[in-house]
Amino acid sequence: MTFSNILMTLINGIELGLIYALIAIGFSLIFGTAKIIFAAHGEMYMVGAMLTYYFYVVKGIPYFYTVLIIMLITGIFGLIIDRLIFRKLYGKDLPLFMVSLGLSIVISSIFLIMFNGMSKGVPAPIPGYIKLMDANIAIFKLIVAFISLGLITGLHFFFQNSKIGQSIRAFSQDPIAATLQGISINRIVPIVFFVSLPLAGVAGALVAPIYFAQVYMGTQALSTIIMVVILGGIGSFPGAIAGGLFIGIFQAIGSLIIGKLSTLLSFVLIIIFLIFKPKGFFGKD
Amino acid sequence: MKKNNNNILEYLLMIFVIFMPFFIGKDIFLLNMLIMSGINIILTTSLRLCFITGIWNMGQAAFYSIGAYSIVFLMKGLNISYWLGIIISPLISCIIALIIGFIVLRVKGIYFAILSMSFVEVVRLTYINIRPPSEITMRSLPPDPIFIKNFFKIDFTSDRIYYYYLILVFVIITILILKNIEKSQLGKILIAIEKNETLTASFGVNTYYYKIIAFCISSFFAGLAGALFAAYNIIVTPTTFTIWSSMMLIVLMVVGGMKSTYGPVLGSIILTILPRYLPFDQVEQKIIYGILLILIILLLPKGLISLPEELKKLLFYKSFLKNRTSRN
Repeated sequence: MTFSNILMTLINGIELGLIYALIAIGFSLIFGTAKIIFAAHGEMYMVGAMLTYYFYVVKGIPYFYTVLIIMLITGIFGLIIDRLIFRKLYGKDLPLFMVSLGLSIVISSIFLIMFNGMSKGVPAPIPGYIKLMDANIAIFKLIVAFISLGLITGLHFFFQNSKIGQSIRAFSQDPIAATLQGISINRIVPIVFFVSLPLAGVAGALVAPIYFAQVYMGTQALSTIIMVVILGGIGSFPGAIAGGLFIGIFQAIGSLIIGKLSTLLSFVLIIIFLIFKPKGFFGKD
Repeated sequence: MKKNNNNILEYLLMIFVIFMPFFIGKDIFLLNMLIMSGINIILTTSLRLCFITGIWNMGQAAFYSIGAYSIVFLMKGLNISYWLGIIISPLISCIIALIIGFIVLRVKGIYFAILSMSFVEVVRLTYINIRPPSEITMRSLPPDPIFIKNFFKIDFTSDRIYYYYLILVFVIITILILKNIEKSQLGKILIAIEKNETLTASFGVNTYYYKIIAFCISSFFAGLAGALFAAYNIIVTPTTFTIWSSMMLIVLMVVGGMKSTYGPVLGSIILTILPRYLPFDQVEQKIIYGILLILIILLLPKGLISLPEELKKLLFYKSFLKNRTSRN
């Protein structure tokens, strides 16, 4: 194992970790406000990747517009499911979880019928490599890392400075007090869905050119995201980022050293972690 | 009066179920579906014990597979008789549940749901990785024949009906045990934990301990279902026990209704048998399951078992409204 190998792995891990962080932020945002365990969040990531394949490779739409279309589709889908399904069930934990489980089954099966179960390759929109200490690093990988970093920073300012962001934070801290201040759950949750689902969709769109697009990636992503959220503490913004980076780097190093068993190892890691710190690094509740 | 009615209904159902093979005659396909729904009944009724305790267990398929694999190992590797194995293999899955539950039950709700879901994947990956690829799909043996003094012999390979009665016996035992657990002191504590865990703990109940008990009982029956499945299906392969099969068990349970033990029974029977007669392939079937799950939760939160009750309420409510308007 050379130094360049380790460098490559580290960059892979950071890039993967930032992607995980993007998805996990959306997931813990939905949980923090609406108390929905949105089991279809992994499928949103899959939808992002598959639609990138469809629009960018099959239809030939430029990559930038593809990403915009995916953001719009996933965002509007979020608004629709919130209005039609979730609004009637606010406050009931188990039914909300079951419904999102049903949604994830339906979405993944529909995509399995539309595109078959094969992995779809998506060419990188910006080809080329940078040579760094005899390690070849794809330029697009770096761009993805910067885009996700930019999105995370943007979200941070959105939550800290904008009125809507502040009210979302207030609501997730104390729903009753926030409601007394005139922040209605019926106004907050659609906004949260409109922000969170596109994040997962964009994550899928960014990942597709680096790895591949496949229908089964959603379920796998969900279990990874849950691990991220467990590590960081649910409903915590810095927790999602720290957990995402940790799991990303851990998986990259793990797959370099032990290969296929790294998924198994991360489950064992989570179990050991749970024994000592059941509420995560940043969790309060 | 009402209690009497229920009892009579139960006895009638029992008689109907016992003589079922004579009604359906030579329809082997339907008989196989009934056997499968019997296995699903054991899985879902025991899964319900977790859910009434507030444990969102999505790892039932893992313990199901542990039961199936351990009975193959016991019969083929250690040459143990099936009738001993069917007691030992649920115990194995119960012990594994004890170890896993001891660690993972520290977390609640969704955390547990997803960890148990990834446990299914872990068990599956373990099978795939520890054995050479040619041995991943295992062949089980049929149950040993029963002899009673040379003149009465049941050979399971000769007729599928024997499997039907074998599984029927275990289904009835499972339902009786689980119903009595729910009625007992233990069941009341479990339901109290679901309603308010902090409050229950403040009465001096060690909720963690009781949650482990519920999880272990549920896994015990999952292991039993696995042992029955291995004997019935002969072929045991990791693709039977995926995350999807865990999710499907939840669909069966919720669609049937979670308020009583007979809800999961109804859900298992309807959703195991009906889709096979509809012209859908497996993926389309999944879509229908998903849509059905959402619709049932939105429109009939107590499941299909509450359908007569809801209809009665609807009719009664209408006549009630009519009375009011006519009076005004």
